[in-house]
Amino acid sequence: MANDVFAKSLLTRRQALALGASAALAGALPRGAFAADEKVTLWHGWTGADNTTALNGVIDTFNKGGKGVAVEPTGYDWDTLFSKWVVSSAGGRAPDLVLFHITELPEFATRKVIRPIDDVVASSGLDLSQVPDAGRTGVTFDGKVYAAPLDVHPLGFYYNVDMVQEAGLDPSKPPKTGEEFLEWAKKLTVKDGSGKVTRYGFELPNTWATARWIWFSLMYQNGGTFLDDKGLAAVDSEASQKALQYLVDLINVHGVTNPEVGGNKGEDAFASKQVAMKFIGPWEVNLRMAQKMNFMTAQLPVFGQKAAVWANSHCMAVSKQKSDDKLAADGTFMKWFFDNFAAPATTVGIIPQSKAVRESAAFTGTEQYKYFKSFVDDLPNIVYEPLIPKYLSVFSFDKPTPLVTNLQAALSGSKPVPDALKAMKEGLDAQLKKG
Amino acid sequence: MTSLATQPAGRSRARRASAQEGGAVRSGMTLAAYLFLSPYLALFIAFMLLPTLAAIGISFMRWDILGTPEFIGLDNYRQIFADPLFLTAIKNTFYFVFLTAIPMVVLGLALAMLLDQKLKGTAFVRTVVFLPYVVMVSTVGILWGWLFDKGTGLVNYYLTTIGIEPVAWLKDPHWSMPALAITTIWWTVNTNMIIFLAALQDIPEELHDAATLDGAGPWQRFVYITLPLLRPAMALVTALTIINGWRVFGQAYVMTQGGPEASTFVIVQYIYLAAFQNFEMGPAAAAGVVLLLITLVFSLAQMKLMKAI
Repeated sequence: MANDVFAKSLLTRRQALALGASAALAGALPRGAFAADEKVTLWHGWTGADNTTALNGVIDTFNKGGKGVAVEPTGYDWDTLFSKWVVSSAGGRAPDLVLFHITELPEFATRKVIRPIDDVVASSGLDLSQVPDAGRTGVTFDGKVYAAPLDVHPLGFYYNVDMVQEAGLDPSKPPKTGEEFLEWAKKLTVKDGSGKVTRYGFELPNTWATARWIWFSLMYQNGGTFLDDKGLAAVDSEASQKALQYLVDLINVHGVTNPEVGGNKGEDAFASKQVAMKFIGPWEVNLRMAQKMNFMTAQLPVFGQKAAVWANSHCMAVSKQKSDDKLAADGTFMKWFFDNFAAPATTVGIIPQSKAVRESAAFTGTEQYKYFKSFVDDLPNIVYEPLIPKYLSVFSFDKPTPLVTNLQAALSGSKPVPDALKAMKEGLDAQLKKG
Repeated sequence: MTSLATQPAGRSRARRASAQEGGAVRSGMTLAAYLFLSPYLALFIAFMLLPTLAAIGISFMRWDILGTPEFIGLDNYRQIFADPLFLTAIKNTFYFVFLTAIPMVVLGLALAMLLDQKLKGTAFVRTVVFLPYVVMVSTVGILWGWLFDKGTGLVNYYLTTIGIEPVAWLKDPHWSMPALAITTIWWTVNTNMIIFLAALQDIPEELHDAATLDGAGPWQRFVYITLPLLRPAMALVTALTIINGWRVFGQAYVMTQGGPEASTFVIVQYIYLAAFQNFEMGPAAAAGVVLLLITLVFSLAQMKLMKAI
């Protein structure tokens, strides 16, 4: 019966089998790859729809470039990525390349799930001299380079141009100091006839990590540091207290912000016009453009004695494997990705580390660049969170760690600032001292 | 004599033969039973029993997944009980069980009784009530995150129409856990309803008819017929609700990440953080064993209580 079908069909059984095998092989191959290419697996945490599309598009271009390497990307949310990576490493099934943040690098270097890549950098020709000092330091651990620095994403200042104009302010002259910022925040806060606030001047949510990044920036602007010389928490310093008190005063004294507004997943207080200004990274530029918001960005105002702005960076590292067979292929892709980072940087909303890429027409010629410009201008002022092996447990994004819980308590008013920072220091020190 | 002598011997042989046959049948049936059970048992042993035993073993070890486990006795238990965050997690989880257990049982029963009526459209309503069960926890979390939003959420919109001030459900430490409880009740009460509905349909109609003839009203029929006959279902539903309450995780993780100010931080999230963020498998396993013991104690206490009633 089956033979009859094949006999009557246009294909012979052999042809059909060959076609099936080819289809199966094509399905198993990475995006746009050739059968002879060496397969390199890449795990990353860019899971947003736009980010994944951008990354896959770039990888397709690379895979079709005939470089003899075929990259197969897989995205996980960051938490899943890290746990899956460590468990896979223990089982000898780690991916070849992993994209993560430089602040997490010391932890993975200490756990020995990544290997130094000085040899890969040298053999592939990846030009680290294009990267600012801070970026190069960020990927160096124990004197060895562990990853290719890809981008930098500092905190920036977003404001709604329509609201600024309605308030009689000049959107082309955004505030540069704490006093000017407070003046804007007061004028942009709107109350109804009964005195109830209908729109806050500024967004300062007590959920997610935004408040932490803002407080961190202000702490450094006031001359403080997160850790002291002994590697213990210095969060109870005068500079830190001044920074946090300023934010708490914005809520309680000036009434220009409310920690209960904005911040949660899916809750967009800026687009829903509940706030007029916010501080966030360049990754929101594409979202605001897609929403057709009339907005502008600026450098973070200087609230203290000097400019300082929180930032983080993505980097790409090589997982430690039993054999180094794929190092050449890993290096080929890393260098190509580093040199061709303008496209993913634009779509994801991050600033390329490489000066050549950052100043190339492929980046500066984009419609997003007028918003990215202020972030680029702030690059000399960036400060990374401490690059320590316990980064993930100390600086957890939004989990109830001593840092997060006490910061939330200060913002909500359930603890006075000095008490919250004292409790935070005790909790952080216990974490930092743990063996 | 011979016949008399041989008769018992024959009967005995027959009994033996019959006993042997019976034994063979029984052992055949036992084998068949084990064969039928084997797919479940294999999975149960591989994915429940062995990991549980392994977790108990790991709870006495220092192990970061990558290195070699090292026996450290009860140190992990000492560590977690000295950790204020673990005690907060136990307190919060107990509060969650307290907030959800009674509404889940009472509402489950009430819904089942409503949907047990022979009315037009009952099947449709049953489907609607059961629908949330098939929605994934991440979707439920995001959906209720929107509904509970202080400025734009539907919950506050309706509350303000009746003169109640908007509540920052997920950002106020006093309201975050009740918000998670409400979400959980909406999402899972339907499973309790299904169990109660099945049990209600097992109650013979004649009992109600006879009681009605004897002059019993709806309330008397409910108290003296329905409730006593629902006791086994009630025991099952209560036990499952309490056990699931202690194991809450997904809703808290998606909606509040344990915050604000650790107000929704629960035991399973503590385990998750210890294991997959701090890579401290020992304290994570120890916390898992504590959770196992808590659910065991609560289940046994509840079963004893149900027997006493």
